[in-house]
Amino acid sequence: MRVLLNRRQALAIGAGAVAVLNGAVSPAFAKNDVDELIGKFTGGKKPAEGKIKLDLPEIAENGNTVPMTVSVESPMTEQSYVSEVMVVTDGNPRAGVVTFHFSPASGVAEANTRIRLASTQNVIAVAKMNDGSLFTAAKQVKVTIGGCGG
Amino acid sequence: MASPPRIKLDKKEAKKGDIVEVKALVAHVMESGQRKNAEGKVIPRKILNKFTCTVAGKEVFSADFEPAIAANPYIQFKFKAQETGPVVLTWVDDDGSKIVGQTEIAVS
Repeated sequence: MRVLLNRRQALAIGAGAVAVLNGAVSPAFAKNDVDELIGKFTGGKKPAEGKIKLDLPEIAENGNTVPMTVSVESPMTEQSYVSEVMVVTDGNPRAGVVTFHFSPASGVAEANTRIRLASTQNVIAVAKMNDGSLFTAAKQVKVTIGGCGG
Repeated sequence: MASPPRIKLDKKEAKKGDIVEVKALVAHVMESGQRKNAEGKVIPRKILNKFTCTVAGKEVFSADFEPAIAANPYIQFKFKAQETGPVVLTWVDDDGSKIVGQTEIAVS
């Protein structure tokens, strides 16, 4: 069935999408599998804000290769370390980007890679500590040229 | 693979407990499985999906890559120098083949 929208309805949906970005998550507007992936990673627990530094450009001219640095505050000792950091996006065809696995042997929970972004969207990082606690951070990147080809 | 991975450590010799930074670049198309060719057929996905680094036989860092990783993947990370030995970086392709790069770290 094809649904036709008039201008007013389209604007209403747009406003709904903005509400989603502001944190009021509504599954009806979820564009990709981002919520599912985060849910799977956290086991349904809600991660706290903070501890993660997500370094991305404000504006990416070329979405084909966007440099990204993720670092997490942690002493990285046997008693307390970051075990995993998952990075997802809410605007790519598929939400998954990368999962980093750290251990006390890493010394520092920091990694850098280059990612693809199809359009202007939010990049979200979720970190899991060895004691099971969770932290999250998000950053919006404006993309001039999309990076998924096609 | 046409060219071997390029691997660089910020120091070749380290004191025990020092933090060593690793930078690595490998040539790979990282075909996302989302693109279509001229006939409109989807080009099948072909990416490096797993990266692992071991130092003197112990795993220090690994990462699971998704199609959203840019072509010719670059990775930068750190590890704590513990003992002298080979630094081995392994990338696993979707087809099961592996790209392996190696360098050395001397720990005093």
